Amino acid sequence: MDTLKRFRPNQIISVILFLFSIFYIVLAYQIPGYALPRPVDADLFPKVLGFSMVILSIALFFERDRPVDKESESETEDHLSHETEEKEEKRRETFWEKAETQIVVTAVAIAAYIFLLERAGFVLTTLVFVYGMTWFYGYKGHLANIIVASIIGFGFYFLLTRGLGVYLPPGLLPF
Amino acid sequence: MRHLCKRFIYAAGVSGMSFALLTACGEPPDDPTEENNNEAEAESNADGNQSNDTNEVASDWEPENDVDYIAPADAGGGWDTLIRTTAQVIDEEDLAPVNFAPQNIPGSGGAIGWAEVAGHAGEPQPLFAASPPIILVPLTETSQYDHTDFTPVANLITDYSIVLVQPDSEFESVVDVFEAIEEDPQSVSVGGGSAAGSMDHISMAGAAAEFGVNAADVNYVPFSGGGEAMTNLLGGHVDVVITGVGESTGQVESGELRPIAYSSEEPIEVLADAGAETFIEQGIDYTFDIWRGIMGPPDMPQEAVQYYENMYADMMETSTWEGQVENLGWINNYQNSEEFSEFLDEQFELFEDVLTEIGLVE
Amino acid sequence: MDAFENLLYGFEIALQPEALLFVLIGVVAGTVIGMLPGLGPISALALMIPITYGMDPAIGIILMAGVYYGAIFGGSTSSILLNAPGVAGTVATSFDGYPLAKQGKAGKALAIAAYSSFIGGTVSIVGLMFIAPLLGRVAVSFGPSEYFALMVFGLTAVVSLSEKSLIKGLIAAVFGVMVSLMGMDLQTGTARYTFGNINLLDGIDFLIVALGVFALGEVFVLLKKRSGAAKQNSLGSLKLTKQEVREIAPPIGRSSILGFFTGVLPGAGATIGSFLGYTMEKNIAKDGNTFGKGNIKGVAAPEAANNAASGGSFVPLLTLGVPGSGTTAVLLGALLVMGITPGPLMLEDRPDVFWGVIASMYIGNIFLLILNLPLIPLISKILNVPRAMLLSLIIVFCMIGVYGLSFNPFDLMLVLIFGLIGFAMRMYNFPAAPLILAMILGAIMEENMRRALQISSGDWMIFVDKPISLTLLIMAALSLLIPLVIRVIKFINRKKA
Repeated sequence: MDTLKRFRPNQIISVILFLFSIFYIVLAYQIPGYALPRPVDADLFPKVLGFSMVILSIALFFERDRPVDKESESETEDHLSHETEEKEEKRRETFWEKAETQIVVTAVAIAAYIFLLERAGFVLTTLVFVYGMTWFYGYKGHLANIIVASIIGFGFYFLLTRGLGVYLPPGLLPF
Repeated sequence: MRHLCKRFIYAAGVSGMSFALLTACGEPPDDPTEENNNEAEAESNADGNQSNDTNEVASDWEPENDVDYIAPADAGGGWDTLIRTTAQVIDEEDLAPVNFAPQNIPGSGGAIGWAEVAGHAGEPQPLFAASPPIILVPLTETSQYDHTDFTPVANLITDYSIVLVQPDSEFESVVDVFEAIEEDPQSVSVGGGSAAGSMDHISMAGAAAEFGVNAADVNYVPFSGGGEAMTNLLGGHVDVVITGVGESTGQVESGELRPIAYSSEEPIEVLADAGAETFIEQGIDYTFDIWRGIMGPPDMPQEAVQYYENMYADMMETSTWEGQVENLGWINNYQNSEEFSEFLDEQFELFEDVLTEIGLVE
Repeated sequence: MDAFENLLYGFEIALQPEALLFVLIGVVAGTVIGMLPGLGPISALALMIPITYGMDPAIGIILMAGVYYGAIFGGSTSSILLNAPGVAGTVATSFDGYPLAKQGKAGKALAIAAYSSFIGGTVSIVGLMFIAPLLGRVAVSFGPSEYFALMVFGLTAVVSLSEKSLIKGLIAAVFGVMVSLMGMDLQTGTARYTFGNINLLDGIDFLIVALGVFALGEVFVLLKKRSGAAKQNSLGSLKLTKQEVREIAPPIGRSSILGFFTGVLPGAGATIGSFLGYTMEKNIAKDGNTFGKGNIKGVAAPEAANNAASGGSFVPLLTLGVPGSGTTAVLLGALLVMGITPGPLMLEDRPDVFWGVIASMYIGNIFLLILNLPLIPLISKILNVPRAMLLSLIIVFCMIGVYGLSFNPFDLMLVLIFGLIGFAMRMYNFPAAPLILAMILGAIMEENMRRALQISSGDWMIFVDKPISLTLLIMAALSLLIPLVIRVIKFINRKKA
């Protein structure tokens, strides 16, 4: 079962990598040559890398995964996380608690943070981000959360810009 | 760069000693992407207040806000040193009623910093440090802005190119080098501290062309800095190195490397003592200035230009400046806005010619 | 004067109250700066320049040396606790330091880091003191072809870092080199893979990739696995057993020496030193396969090496006057401003600076150790922060750190992208270490290969004509072949048996 599961992603990845390397090689051939003759111009390395990637992606397609169980058992990290998983309460997850949802939301939230950082300013974005994400990840101590978020947002901002003369985007707030 | 202050103070605060350092770091915050005057004003009382009344200025225009003072490169390089040193002298000598707040906007050989300044057309600031790359980089098409997009404020100092060899090298003069190149271009490798097609390369190729060698025959090997190039010469990996006189002081004085030519108009004593002659003395009618000056945004108000060119002229009279110039091995080369502007156009033509000759510009 | 007398003279300078104060400020400030993601020794030193204006040069550089040391040490803390290396030189530390923290042995990992740093630092100072002038000569014998060979040798480590699948390791490495080539080519000024975007012209900063793939990637992995950053409330013991001391002593010794020599080479420095130290120990160790899963030797080796390398990188600066790394370039700038021209003459002209620095390094190192050991429990308090909050804080710290590098939101997007790449890599068992290693070494390898060929006018024999580069290439070949041979021998033996 496990082997089968792992085998498929490998092949999918190898196809993605193959397409990626073709794209990379096409771009490599578009690197303009230097006006002066150079023994090795800027395009050689990219070409070599691109073709290496093609070969490796093909090899990956055919790579037989070694039996999984042996390795994951020896790997402490997996081991540990299994433990924690088991320890965690076994209740039904809502949609928002699913790992996949959390990852997507986190990525989107980071993108929003970046987008808003110079527009809404450091304090607002950071405060909202820290509070919001901490809450979202399941921390329900609202007071502690607000305090920490404020310390990070206001504290950093004032310490840096006021006390130490360092730039952070002020954004919407009037100071 | 100044954003780094915070980390240090934060750190120093931890050790309970922040008071000693706050003054050193307490410059106003700068907005690296847009001007922000409230901020600057709010902060200028941190340490820039004593300088209000001691000015003598020709025009009535005076800067009202702290000046964003940009080195379009990382900390530690030539532009950065110029910006920091002048800011310090201006501050110490109370030459302006406001602070000059140095900041680094590194990237793309300056292009990112230039793009930032170009966004302030018609404003009296920011000011930034400029040198030959502002002409060269646009010529090789990596910046959409060139020197004509900015307002020259004042040219301040200059450095010259210097050609170095190992002490026991067979090359006694730069003429020997060019003759060897003429005979077999492959036989002589010339290291320099910047990319192909940029300052050091142009300087050497220009001299070669003037001598009568095909400029494209100079086998130029780019290193990431004059220091690295000189290390490679010390180790015998390249035959000749071209770099700035300032950068080579240590090696020349200790006799570890032997200068064989330099690009100034007049002989320089230290180098003459070390046995080197200018290109001109060796019969090659060629000079090359590694100038460094201050420029401002496009269409800078005339009165602001006037104010700053006078301020820099005053600055260069001070003893604080003299001391720094001596420490850093600089050579004063003041030009006001107009002279600087003409000089830049001449430089542009020179560089374009050389680059065309090498084959880098069509 | 012999070295000993000189050193006494140096201590006379370094033990002045003023010098002591600034060493202290320096190491503390450096440590804290190093802990913050995105800020490393370069930033820390650049910050010091305005502060040292007008200072006595000897004191000024003493301050800077302290900061330099502190920053490299500080980076190990966040590497170990959060998998978020604050400094490039401590990326290798996170390979085993973070797994140790996860196993509840954060205190032990931090203590090992502190001891190893101390020893590595001390070894390098001794080296700096006695053989600096000689080494300057050795350093210059490394030209482009030698560097190329050294990088090839370094890259062979990809094989041993590849863990389960060699193919996946190689893919990660090739991808790492691809990333490192982005931006303007130094040799010709040609833009490669910048897609016309000016923000990419300077390439992608190493720390953006490291923070993305390690710190942010780890956040995603933790979300996926629903586990916390490390065992809650578990600092574990700081004490090392005799057995453990015996275990880590040889790696520390070897890596210190290796690190020092790596640091001496211009252009190599702490990051490469730490990687070389790590891979060397992994290859030597009998339990090499537990590297990356929380082996204490995997913390000791890179920590000793990176501190030794930072000491070593003073050699070309102080003896030749040429900076061997970005960090020492900033230092050189600062010295020039203070009116000192480093170089062979400096020993005669300003012995106070030269010997003062060396003596202050000893003192700084001792300060680092005695300051940081008691601080470990305090620092580790960060592990008591609830998981939900810690995750969001790690993200924000990554953002602040990278924003402080360039003030460019574009770079923040890159961190996010590399975070997702790092997550995908972890999910599908692609090792991250080869990517990082290849990213550091790949670009230097290409640059020097092309430089060498430029010098030789395209004659590839330049790489084998020179003894040092030939030796290194043979070593590279051996390090690839020996494991293979061993495997074959084992295979045959097994068949026989």
